[in-house]
Amino acid sequence: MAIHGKIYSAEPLTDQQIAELTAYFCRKLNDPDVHLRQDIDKRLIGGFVVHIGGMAYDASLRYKLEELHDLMLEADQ
Amino acid sequence: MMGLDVLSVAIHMGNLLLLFVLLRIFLYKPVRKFMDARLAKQKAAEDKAQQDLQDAETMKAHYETLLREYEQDNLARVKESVDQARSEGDAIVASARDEAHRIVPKAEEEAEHERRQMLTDMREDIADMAMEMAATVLQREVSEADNQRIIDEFIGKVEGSDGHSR
Repeated sequence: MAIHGKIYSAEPLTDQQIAELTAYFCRKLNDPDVHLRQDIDKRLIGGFVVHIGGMAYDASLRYKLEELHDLMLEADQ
Repeated sequence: MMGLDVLSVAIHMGNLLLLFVLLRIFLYKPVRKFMDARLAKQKAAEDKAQQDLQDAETMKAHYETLLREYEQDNLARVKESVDQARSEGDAIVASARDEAHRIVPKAEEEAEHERRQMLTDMREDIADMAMEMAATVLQREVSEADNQRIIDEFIGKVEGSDGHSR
């Protein structure tokens, strides 16, 4: 059965990059029929976020900044 | 020659005696009686005056005693009022002190809690501002080529590990 997912990025990804990500998720989800639909979200700043199979894979710069933000607060406490 | 007439002398002596008796009866005794009565009246008046004086002295002493007792009562009442007021004042001060001992630590604790909360809020605000500034700079500075490089590196990490999932 086909698995559909969405990939968000600040700038459009190349077909090559989408193909590589699709291949990865085929292996990870053990399903050869994986389709990723692209969407643009400038808030991500850079990198991407993939929503597929009930999971979210966040490799965006926004996420990194939020991690830094949490580290800053933890460090002060 | 004049010779003593015994009879005349006797009559004269008799007259004298009679005069004496009559004087004693009609003059001396009434006058004496009158004088004695007057003396007695005078003495009675003196005694009465003395008695009145004593009565006045007694009354004076009595009133002075009453006045002293009244003054002492008043003084005692005033002293009692002062003592009571002082006691109530001490009680109020003690109560206020206890209240302060109860309130001050609590107020200090609340102030400290507010201070810590304020510092936490400030840290969060600073962190938020730093993040937004970094985001603004990155958005301005990150080029398409940088994005491609970042994505390629991420994809490289995803291939090597499971990447970041949530």
